[in-house]
Amino acid sequence: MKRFALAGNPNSGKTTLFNALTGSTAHVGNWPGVTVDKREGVYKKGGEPVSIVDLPGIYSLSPYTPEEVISRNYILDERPDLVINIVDATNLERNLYLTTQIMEIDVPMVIALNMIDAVEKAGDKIDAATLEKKIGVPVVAISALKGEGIDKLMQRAADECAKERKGSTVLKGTALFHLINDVRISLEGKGVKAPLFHAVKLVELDEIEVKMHADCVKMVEEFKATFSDDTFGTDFEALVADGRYRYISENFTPALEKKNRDKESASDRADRVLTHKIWGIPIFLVILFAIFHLTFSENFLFLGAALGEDFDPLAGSEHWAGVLFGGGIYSPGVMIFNIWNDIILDFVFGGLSDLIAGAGLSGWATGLICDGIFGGLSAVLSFLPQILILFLFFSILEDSGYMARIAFILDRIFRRFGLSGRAFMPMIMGFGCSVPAMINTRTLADDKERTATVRVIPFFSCGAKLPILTAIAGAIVGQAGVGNADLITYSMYLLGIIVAIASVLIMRNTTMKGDVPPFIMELPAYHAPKFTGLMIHLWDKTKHFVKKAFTIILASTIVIWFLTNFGWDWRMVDEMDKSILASLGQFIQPLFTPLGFGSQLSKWGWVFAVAAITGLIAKEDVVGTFGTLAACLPIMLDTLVDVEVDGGVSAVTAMIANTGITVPALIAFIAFNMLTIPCFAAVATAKAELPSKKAFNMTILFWIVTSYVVAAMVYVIGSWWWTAFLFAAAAVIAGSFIVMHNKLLKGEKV
Amino acid sequence: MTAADIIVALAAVGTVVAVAAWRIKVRIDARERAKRGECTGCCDGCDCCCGRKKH
Repeated sequence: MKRFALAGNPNSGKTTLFNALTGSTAHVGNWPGVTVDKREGVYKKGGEPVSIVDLPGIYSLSPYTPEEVISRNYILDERPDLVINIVDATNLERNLYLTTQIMEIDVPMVIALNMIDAVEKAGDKIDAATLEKKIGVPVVAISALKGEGIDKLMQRAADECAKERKGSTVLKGTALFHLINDVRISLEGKGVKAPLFHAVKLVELDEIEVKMHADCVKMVEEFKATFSDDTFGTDFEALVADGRYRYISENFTPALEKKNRDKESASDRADRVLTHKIWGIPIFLVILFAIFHLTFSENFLFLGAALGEDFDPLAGSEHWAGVLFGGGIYSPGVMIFNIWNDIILDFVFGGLSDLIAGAGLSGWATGLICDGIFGGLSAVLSFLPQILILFLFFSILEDSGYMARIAFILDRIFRRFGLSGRAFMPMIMGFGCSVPAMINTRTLADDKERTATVRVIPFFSCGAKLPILTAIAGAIVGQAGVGNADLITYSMYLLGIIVAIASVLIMRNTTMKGDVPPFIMELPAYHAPKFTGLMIHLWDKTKHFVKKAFTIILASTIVIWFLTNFGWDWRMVDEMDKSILASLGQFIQPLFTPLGFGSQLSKWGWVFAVAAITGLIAKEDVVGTFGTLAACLPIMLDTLVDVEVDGGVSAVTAMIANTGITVPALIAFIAFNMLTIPCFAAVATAKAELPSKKAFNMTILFWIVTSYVVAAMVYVIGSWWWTAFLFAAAAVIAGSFIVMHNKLLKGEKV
Repeated sequence: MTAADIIVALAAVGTVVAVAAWRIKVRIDARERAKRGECTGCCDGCDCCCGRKKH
């Protein structure tokens, strides 16, 4: 099978083209650096299937970043049959810099002039035929997002890969060309493949080439001794770069006709506000709050006060009372949540429970299915709509290009404290899932910065932690009558972000010291997210959630039910506090006393300790465990909560009623679960991505200690507010000590 | 204990064993792929990073 490699600048649309060609659903983000490793798919639409390899986005073939090394090695060593060089037509000059380097390799290539629709929309024009004539390789205008021009591109690629192509360079007019040619002839004599590319890199004194062809370095050094440029002196790398840009500017840029050359674009105008040095962060916080308000608020637009406590136009309806209104208007997220729970899940699990009850099974079998399995599954599945809605909003922020701006805004503030904006990109990805976020840290060149970033990624609450947040927030509002669900969830997300930033700052100024590498980031133009792209994101999330619910969560609920209903003698127990789970829970319960959900609770208080431990398997298991246990608890609420059909909020409500847990302890429980060791998949990824076993072990310890300390602080401050001053004083003293210690180490005056 | 009870018990035990075996297989496969220098599939085909279940 023929192999075509996709190479291009970051955020030029390679992954979008890869998806369009292979029918895959690879993650596409509107920021540079989404792809950190190569991936393969198959294009089947043409006559013969073609393997498509998506390479990480790169600006050049110099070996400065891991992505550049991966792409360069692949093209040179793996010898694809053809390279499709994706060029962002809206940034022609910068993108063609890489093109001029790929052209020097002896490999057939085709240029895909992507985002041509955006160029036309701006009223500009690119003459693809002129460009093709100048470059000497086929140029096809496409729009990967809309799927336009792709068939033509693949047709040209198929024709081109049948031909042999020798490398060509745009450096012919430069003072270094003769030297390049001499080195090329020398390398060719030795049988080196792609000699022109290696010759140019050798003249640049590229560190990989110098090691590979040490004998040719003498030729370059001798020339260097007799040569000096007026501007660049003997910096040959700069001379080569200048030669490339000069050629691009003189020959290729004329192919572009710009309508409004100096007019500020809409993206630039938006950035003047959204990335403002003072208003940038407050605007980000407001956008984040708006998302949580739309998803979780039971008092949408704060209309409850105006509409009155009993406001519900559907109060007379059997099915719809309390679904869309309740003392105000529910936010769209809560409306969908209620419809899903009160109508759909109620119908499904209620119907199934009736069926099982009438099936003539023994009491234990009915209990296993209705209390154990249905209780656990319904508790977890009840949050699916809100997870999807929140994820939809995050996808919109990401696809529109706003997420990239957040890294830019944060870089400006935190760079001086040792944290670069490049590290914020994987952190923000952590809102979706910690696993790809940890893999994305490969874009960080410094090992210490990378380790510090991997450690804090789980603090950015992923979708799996959302059921814990939502269930407890809902129960706090419903049972304890405190606060708003949207404010509680929003605050907990912010707590995760603050703890992450504080942790990295402490690490980067103590055990993980290092220079902050420069962060050069291209801010992609804003564009409206594509509906199908968003739906693909949501479908992936749904599949993943449902798959997890009916495998790991299902198995966990069965095990939890067994441990809850059987004693150490393997006989069924009459009372749950004599079960295996109760004895294990009571054993570890005192550990959580400083966090507010330990020995101070009633005899059922061990359920919180058990739920926190089951969360280590998968975070959804915390609420699943509540669902299973709540169904078995002897004391139900006055309202007789039917946990099998009422979902996770009812399960936690039953927990509060049975254990007497306080609101600060519930918040501490959320904080502990958000910050502690993440799920198995994330732990395995951290192990693979961290540089050593020691770093991994320290990371596990870091997660345990941070979650314990922060949760304890939350509980103590929540219970005795004045202790906040003591913690603040301790933080100031510790911070001053670190600053003074670092100054002394540098030999500065304190 | 009725036949239906036995079916429920067997199904419950079977589910737990099958899920545990599947998880172990996923980890062993990932380790093997890592040895071959391939994508480890540590995301377990969650589709959020690369969209391919078979790596």
